[in-house]
Amino acid sequence: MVNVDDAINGTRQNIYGFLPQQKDNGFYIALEFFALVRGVCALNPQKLLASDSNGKRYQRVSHDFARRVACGVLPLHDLDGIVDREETLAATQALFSSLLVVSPGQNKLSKNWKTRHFFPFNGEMVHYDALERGRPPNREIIIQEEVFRGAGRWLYAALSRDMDSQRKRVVIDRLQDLFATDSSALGRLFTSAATHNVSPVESNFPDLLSSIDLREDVSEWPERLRQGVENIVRRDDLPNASRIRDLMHWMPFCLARHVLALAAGTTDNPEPYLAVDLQRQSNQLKSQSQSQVKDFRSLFTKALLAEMPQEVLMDVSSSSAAMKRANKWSGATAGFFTQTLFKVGALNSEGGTRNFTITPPLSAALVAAATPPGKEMNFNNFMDVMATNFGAVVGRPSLTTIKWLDRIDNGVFEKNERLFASQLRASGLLTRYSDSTSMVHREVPR
Amino acid sequence: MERMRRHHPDYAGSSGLVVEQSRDYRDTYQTVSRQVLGSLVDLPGSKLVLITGDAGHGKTSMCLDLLEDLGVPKTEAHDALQRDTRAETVLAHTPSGRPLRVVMDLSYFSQETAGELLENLFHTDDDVTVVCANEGHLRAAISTLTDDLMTPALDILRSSDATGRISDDLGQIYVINLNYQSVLQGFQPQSGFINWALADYLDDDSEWAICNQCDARDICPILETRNQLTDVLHGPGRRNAIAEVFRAVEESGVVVTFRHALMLLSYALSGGMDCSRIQSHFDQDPTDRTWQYQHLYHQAIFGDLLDDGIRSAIPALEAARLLDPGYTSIRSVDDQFDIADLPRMRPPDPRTLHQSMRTTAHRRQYEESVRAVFVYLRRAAFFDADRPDRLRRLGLENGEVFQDLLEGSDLTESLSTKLIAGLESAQGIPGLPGTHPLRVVDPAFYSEQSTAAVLSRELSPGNISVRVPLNLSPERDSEWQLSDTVEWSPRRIDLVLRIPGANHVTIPLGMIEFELLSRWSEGLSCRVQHEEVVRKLLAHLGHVPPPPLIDSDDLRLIVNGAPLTLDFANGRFRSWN
Repeated sequence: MVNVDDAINGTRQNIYGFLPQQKDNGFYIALEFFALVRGVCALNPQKLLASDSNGKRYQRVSHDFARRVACGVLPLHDLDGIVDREETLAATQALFSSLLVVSPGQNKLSKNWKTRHFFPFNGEMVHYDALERGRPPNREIIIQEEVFRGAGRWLYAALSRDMDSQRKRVVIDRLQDLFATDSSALGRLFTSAATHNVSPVESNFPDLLSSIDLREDVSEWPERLRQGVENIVRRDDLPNASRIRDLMHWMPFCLARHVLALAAGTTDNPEPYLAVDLQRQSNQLKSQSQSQVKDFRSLFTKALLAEMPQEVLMDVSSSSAAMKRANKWSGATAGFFTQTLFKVGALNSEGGTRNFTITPPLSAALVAAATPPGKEMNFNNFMDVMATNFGAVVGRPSLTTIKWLDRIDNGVFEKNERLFASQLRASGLLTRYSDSTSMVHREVPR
Repeated sequence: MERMRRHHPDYAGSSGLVVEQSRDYRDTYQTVSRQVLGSLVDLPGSKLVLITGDAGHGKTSMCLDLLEDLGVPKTEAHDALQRDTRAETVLAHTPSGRPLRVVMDLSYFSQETAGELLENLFHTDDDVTVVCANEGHLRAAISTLTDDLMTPALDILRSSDATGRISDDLGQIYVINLNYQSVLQGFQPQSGFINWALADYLDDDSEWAICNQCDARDICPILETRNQLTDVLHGPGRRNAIAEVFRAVEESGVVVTFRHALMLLSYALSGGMDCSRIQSHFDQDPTDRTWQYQHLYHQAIFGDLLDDGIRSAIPALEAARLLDPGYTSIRSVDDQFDIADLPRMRPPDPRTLHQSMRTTAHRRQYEESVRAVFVYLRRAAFFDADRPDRLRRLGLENGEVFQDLLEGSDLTESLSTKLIAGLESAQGIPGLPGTHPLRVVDPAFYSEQSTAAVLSRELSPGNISVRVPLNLSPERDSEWQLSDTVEWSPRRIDLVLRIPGANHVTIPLGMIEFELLSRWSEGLSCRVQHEEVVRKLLAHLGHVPPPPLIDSDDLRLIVNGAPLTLDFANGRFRSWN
């Protein structure tokens, strides 16, 4: 008898090269990657993004103390000898909670500290997952994966297998700088708070080579990811926080699109272009986009069915019944895809009838990924890059391969494009020079 | 009248208005740039003189003037420029005998071709080429080039308003950036382009003599406008007020091109009407005085009757509409109005329009018409108000302070307190009463969700000063300065934060940003609506470096607005106020 769960996971591993999980979505993907980077930097900085890291030692820090303080789950009487009075605790809580990552749809008052992570403003603040085990009074905190379930490892693998050694060197250098040990006030605060954590764990670096297949023959996204990451990290004129925020949007976006591209490739479909709609009222582009969100879900299912070993499917009588069951099996992949795009701001809602969109932080990341540092790009060229490289259709592209384009009026595209331009302009990413030309740029002009 | 009509924004030919063709009958406005261009092309070593700026600044006109100065008749020059778009032939020789070529408009070419063309022209032997290009297209063209030959031009474009430089290090590329050209000259409303154009339209009595014989003269809004603006007593003040609207528009960061200025002025003066339309109104009812009010200059200048498409094509008009005095309610101003005593050409009187108000729709109409009367009166009164009061009526309560700073006055103590409070509230810190140092928080806490923030630095008020760019440029290392090449008037101030032991941090402030900062200092702020301004300010404040490290483990915090010191030595957290 074949174990169904094993078969499903085996098939998903074959299709996607890693196991996408619904829990492990959005910013967590980037945060896991940062935790790996920092962990390697702490013990073996020269091994960062080395292609044969398997088994090398790296360090994992939990920051469970600061996270529990931030979420308000540590009462004063538990902090005897650590915190002197109620006001101090309140101030410390306010301070730490201001530093947590907030992703869309997340309850800001949630007391579940295991799902709340710090925004990595410096190396000290980067941390790994931790969780609680056992019942009180024997409850203990251990450093183990909770929401970091492998997507961050995929990013690490993708960047470490970069064939362009010059680019890889640049990325390694800048990542080391971004997550270097920081002696600023904030860095020292976290060093100090870390003394109350469960002790950091040194462990063997996960084996990326055998568990992760980038499948670059089917999807171009790993390469796009690297190019974009290089463009983002090289922006020395931008504050670290902005670069990190751009990475946190760009990298998960790429991975979600990679998963979609692989699902399409498995079912012999061309890579889909997302219909991105920014308008409020319903229009042809929005309905196209809404039906795409639904279609992609069944695309993941079809991909799974196409690759599943026959013996698992044998006991199912009809194809519709098989589809129904497979829908359940592909839930994790579909959830990973939609949740990730929603968290980075490419999907307008967490549930219900949804459409693809672009929010200001994501557009900043896309501009950063598309343009070389310090350079500006004509808005029309940027729209071309958006369509051809990023597969996101905002205005009418010059591509003829997209079938659904004929169904949409020009006026809809024009309005959409205008809205996008004004969004970019409001975030300081676009300058309109005269009637004819607008330029996009990531750096805020003086 | 016909000339004015041709300049209207809704005139069929106006978008193609390239150069005033039939203007040999009178003098044109003489810009500084014309003489400067003449000198630049004659400098030994200059290879490219780029004239840039938005469409309608008069780039083509400058080239024609230059060629005329060098002995090429205007019509001939015009034809030659049209024919030879790639500057393949030498059109004239400079006084010192250097061959001169001209590219009239770089926008004829795609970005790539334009880039190549620039490169080729740069490599010609002894020739000097004048190239006209819209700024956006020029940037796009240069960005297509792979080598760094033309990048100095981009650097000049980017930083000339701070450094004043208009040439590269070798003196080969010069840039005349007409986007810095002001429609005013200095700060004097009595000089500059606006005033010249007003005089040009209005002051020649012989051109207006025909109106005295016109049947419709009593009901003509155009004539009424002219009479109001040529009035011996009030005319000059009203013209100054018009110029000040333009000044406020420029200081709010919008580039006003000569073409747009002409469009707006001609439209304001004629109210979008022409003689034939007035005649037809007259033919319908020679005594009707209810339709004219919208066509008087003080209403028409805000473009209510133009449609959206035309309005959005004229940035200056969009900006002026944001400053519309008709929608700024000031109690002391409104109290002076008397609805019962309206001027000759006036909006319909709400009291006669709706004598009975039985339905909600009636009431709404009534409210609408009262509002219309007030908008009308406020606008009309604006142009008759005293100067200090005018900016307030444009909604710029702190506009006068800003203009004083531009004109060189120093930062007073109360003003720096205000700016400090404004900068703090942009960072999300609730203000403190009284004079206090500027608190700069760690950039990690620039977000709305922050209830606590780490204080990165405190700057005493004495470290904050204001500088007007280019007014004082002690080191004039190159001969030509930006302020010499165009009708220059500063439009922004630089707030300079002196940081002990580190470089200055400069925060440029336009009039709107200054206004917002001043208002935020009183505790009002809307981060969403003004996200762009907040982001820009924070990007600058983020450059304030933290103080050199001291080896102590306490942090200065601001928790819910109150200061607190947190000590975390050895993992023990203690705090005191």
